[in-house]
Amino acid sequence: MKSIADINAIREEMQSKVLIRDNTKEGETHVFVAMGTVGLQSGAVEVFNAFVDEITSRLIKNVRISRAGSMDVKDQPAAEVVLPGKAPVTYVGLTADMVKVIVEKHILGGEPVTEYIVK
Amino acid sequence: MYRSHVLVCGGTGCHSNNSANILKAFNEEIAKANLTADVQTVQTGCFGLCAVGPVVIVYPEGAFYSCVKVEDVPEIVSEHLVKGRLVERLLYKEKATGKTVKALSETNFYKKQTRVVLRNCGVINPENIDEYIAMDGYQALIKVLTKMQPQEVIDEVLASGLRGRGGAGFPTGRKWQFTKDAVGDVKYVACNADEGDPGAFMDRSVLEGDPHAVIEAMAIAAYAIGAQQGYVYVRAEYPIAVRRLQIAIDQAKEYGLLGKNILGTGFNFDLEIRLGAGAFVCGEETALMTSIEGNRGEPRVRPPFPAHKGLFGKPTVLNNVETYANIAQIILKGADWFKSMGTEKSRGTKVFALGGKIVNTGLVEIPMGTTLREVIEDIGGGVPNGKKFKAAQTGGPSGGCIPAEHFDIPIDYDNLISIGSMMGSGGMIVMDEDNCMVDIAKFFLTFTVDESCGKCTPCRIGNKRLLEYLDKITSGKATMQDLEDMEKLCYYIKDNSLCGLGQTAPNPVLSTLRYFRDEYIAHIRDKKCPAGVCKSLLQYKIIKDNCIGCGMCQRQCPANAISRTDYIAPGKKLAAMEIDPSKCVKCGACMSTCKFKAIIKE
Repeated sequence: MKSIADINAIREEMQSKVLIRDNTKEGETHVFVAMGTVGLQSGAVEVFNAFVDEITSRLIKNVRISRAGSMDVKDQPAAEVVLPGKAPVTYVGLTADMVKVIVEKHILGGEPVTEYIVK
Repeated sequence: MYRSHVLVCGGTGCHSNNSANILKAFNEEIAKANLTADVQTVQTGCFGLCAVGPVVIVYPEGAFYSCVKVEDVPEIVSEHLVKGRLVERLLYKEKATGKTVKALSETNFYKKQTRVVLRNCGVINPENIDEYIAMDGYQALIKVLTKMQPQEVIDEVLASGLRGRGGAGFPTGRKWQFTKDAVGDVKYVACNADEGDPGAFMDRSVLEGDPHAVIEAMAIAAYAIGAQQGYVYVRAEYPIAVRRLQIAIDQAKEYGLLGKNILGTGFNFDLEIRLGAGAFVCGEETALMTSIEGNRGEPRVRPPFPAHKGLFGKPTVLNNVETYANIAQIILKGADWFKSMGTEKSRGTKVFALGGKIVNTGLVEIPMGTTLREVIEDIGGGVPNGKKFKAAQTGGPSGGCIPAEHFDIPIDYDNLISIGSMMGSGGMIVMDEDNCMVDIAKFFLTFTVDESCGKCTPCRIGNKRLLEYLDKITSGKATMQDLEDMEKLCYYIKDNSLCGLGQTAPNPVLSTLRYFRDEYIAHIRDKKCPAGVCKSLLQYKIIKDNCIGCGMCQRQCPANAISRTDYIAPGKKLAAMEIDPSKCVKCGACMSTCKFKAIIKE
């Protein structure tokens, strides 16, 4: 038997787990993680996982993360972030920590993280 | 933490197309690829687009794979989940264009829909209460139990303008008010899940895809009217729905959301399933309650209405599954939110089960007031094979048809009644030019004649006689006098039957008579079936000048009705064939095999 507090705790915990099934996105932000052969070799999976973890654990809505094919950039793993109505921004040489910064500053804040951008 | 979710539709349509094995194959392949910790597989309820099932959706991309087979699973796992490449050949065609997968909500099928009742169907695992809780599940119950008085709950439902989704459209709040005000120490809440209309499957899909929504709403209703016991009456013919509902009830009990002292608030409510044997008449409220009591499912006279004397003679609220599925949302988001959807007198949304001659067979949920054209052309994708839309039947065997001339009518309770049909539970069967309307009326009447419980004479005998008139018409033996007598009989049955089944049984006949009387007259006077459906009025003929004498038709004919003549058509080398009408069984095998369009039916 659960109390109201228990039910609310389950809700808190579960919400992040089902967030990525949200289909009702409007004007959404797209994140593409390059997962070609080179990307996979250099750790694209970790970057993809970091994006999903960061977006869902912070319950950020309207972001769709996609596994994409290879991107023609040198320093992989790479990812592309497209804010609605904005030009795509390609980040290179990513790590899980850099993903956190991108989510904070670019996806939430709207300002691209210039130091990670492909030169 | 799972980074990818693979959702496999476990609704009835996809399930019968092997979706359970698809799920199993996913689990095996994912284990083989060492992704068990990263990828979660979920069996969900119906996504709605049954026409392209079995359906699999992979998140976070939201890739919508259609018509998936077990053999496709290894490819989806190795390409999509491991390498991140979408399997384009399986993507739903409308979503396959361009680099990004279009959001589901952007496809034509979903764009014009508003999903309130179906919001969790195809999103959560119906067998996992935690996922329902994540979607604000049971928050409405908590709100009601901790912050609202029973009367406030009823006022909110009343203010929302919610009307019963089972067919007649009685205001739900008023029903609750009557039952609350009724004198009695014991009261009941019941749920009508005895969905029997041919072509309707929305209640089943809600139970299969989101059973907790019904449980939560019934608990709210019980709190509002002062009941402690509830029953869900569901037909045993819905095994998946029954199983998932039972799982949901057990989970709710385990969490203390059903039973004694719910969530420590002192409110008691218990819920039981009662299985029906699949009798159509048990969807009628008094027959349903008689059946729950353990008696033969026969209706009784109203009044007294169930709100005063229902189950076991006690005041009872009986609502349909879809009605209940709206309740939690109304409590959480408020009556004003609900009122903002729909039309003046019909608020909210309605789920329709699209079937018949339509491209996107499936479940759709639209705001009331959407036009029939939008439902059929935009959402439903229109009539397949370039055929012309003729009519849509709503309300099943109790309803009527809507002809093409009313294509732009906004769908709500009152508009449908004004054009001689009804909302019903929401089956919508689309018919094209190849459907004979007399035959359609006969189909529905055959159903009601079979399902009549036999208690009252007008329904038991009247409908049987009515069916005999239709038989006479479709076999070309009727007179114009018969047509007149038949129409009179229809009104007699409507006026004198005991329950809704008999009172509405002649509706398909009356509405086809209203809009397609010329077809009836063609059958009677000209002995012709304009759509070429009624076999007794058909004749297959060979146009001799088109016949090259290949003899294919003769080989296909099961009745040896085709023979060779002496006539050789100009420019042909072999003698033409002909059909002996006295031997012909009108199976049409010759016509479908002829490559030269030499065989016609008229």
